[in-house]
Amino acid sequence: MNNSWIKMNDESYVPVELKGYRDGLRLIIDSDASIAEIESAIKQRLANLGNSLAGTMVRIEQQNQSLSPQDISHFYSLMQQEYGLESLNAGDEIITMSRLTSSSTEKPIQGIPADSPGASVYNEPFSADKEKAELIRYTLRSGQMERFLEGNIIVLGDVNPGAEVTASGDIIVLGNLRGIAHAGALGNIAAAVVAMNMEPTQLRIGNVITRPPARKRRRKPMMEVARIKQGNVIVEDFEEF
Amino acid sequence: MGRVIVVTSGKGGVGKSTCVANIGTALALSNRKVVVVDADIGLRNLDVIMGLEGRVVYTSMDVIDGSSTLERALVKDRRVENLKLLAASQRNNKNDVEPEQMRDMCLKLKEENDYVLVDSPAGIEQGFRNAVSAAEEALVVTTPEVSAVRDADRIIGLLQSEDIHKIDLIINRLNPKMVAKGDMLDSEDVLDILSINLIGVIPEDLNIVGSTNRGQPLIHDSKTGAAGAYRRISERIEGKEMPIPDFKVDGTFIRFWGKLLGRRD
Repeated sequence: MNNSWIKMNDESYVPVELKGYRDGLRLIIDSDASIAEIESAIKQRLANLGNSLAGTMVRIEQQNQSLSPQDISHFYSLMQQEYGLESLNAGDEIITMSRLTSSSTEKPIQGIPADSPGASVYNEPFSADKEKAELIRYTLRSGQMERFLEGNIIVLGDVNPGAEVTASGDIIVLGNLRGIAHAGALGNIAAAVVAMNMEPTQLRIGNVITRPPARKRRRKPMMEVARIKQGNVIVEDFEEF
Repeated sequence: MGRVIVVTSGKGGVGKSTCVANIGTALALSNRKVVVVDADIGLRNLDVIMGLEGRVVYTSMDVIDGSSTLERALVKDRRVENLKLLAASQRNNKNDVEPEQMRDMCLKLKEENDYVLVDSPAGIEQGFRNAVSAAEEALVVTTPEVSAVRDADRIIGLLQSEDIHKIDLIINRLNPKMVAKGDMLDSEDVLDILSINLIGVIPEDLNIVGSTNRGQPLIHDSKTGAAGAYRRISERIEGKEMPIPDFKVDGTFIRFWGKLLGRRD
């Protein structure tokens, strides 16, 4: 049973990329873009995340050092004022990609590339990289929020209306999903949302925000998976996946 | 040593104070020593519902600022032995009381009584924090409406974060006819979201309005309808196992005829 959900925004290419690490986010800037382009890209990237990132640390990285320190600090203050992100290293703002990759042993949290057909951790459990997951052992009630930007979230309970789960990877709800779920929150449009009973208020995957079509309440809840296919969020029975 | 139970809901107007008045009276009628505490400071109405308004001399505010002792501020209910009210001040507001002060009063009351029922104000601000400060258990009241259920869900989360884990649910003002027509959530729908223990379902009963206005809790005059439900809830609080009557019986009947007449479902 395919259900095309109602799309509420459009996603398109943006010259900035967000990645999640244990110590916070990294904003990787394509330095070839103009300052105005970058600024609007940052806004576009972060606007969809709403306030779910407030208080998170962020560090700016660029591919070559073409941005001036003034520009960099402008971007930091933009992210702080508009979205509540804190600068990870206020003193030492400019880190080039080459320096970072040579000095850092940490691997970024990788999603499944959107364009690789059929590639998923479910089909290839042995070849895929191991990923982190946060396990939540309780029901998320109205007003409660869980956020994990280093990988996946598994909820052993319900996500009630008014509650929110955000993950940079997949979200698996072993219960009723009735609140808001945001998978691939850092822009991974290959992320999926799986729920034993899929009745969310709103579903967000990557930059795509959708709300469910009006449909009759089913008598028997069944496990379903939601992911982006051809730009639309599609909800299918889990076994077809 | 008694039990301190907070009665709360999040949303206003779902029947918290009426529940406190009736359940408190029912517990007192079965020979328990009960104090009902109005924690809705600035908007008191528990004394009105219980018909004790004219006899309130001191309030919890007077106890806190030292102008009355706790014993003297308790208003005795003349209709039933062992039932007392600690009224809220109408002049002050919720921020004039600190959670610790409320807590101290309730803990003192708990020493001398079997039950301290705290009537919480609506909302999740300081008034709520005051009301739950001394409680070890909670009765969450909701009506079968989506908005009330949503607020109850929020309140349950907040109670759990205040380390209150014995939380029972009261579904108030259930109208079996509306449930049958599909215009109202039934208890199952509510429990599906809230998933906590259901301690009672109170059917909609128009007699409540009159009894509230007269200041005479319904439980004094009636044994059926809402009064019966309050009585059963008080017995379940006391630990008696009693089945919750199925208010859908009458509804199934309507649905059957509805089907014959080719209506919905």
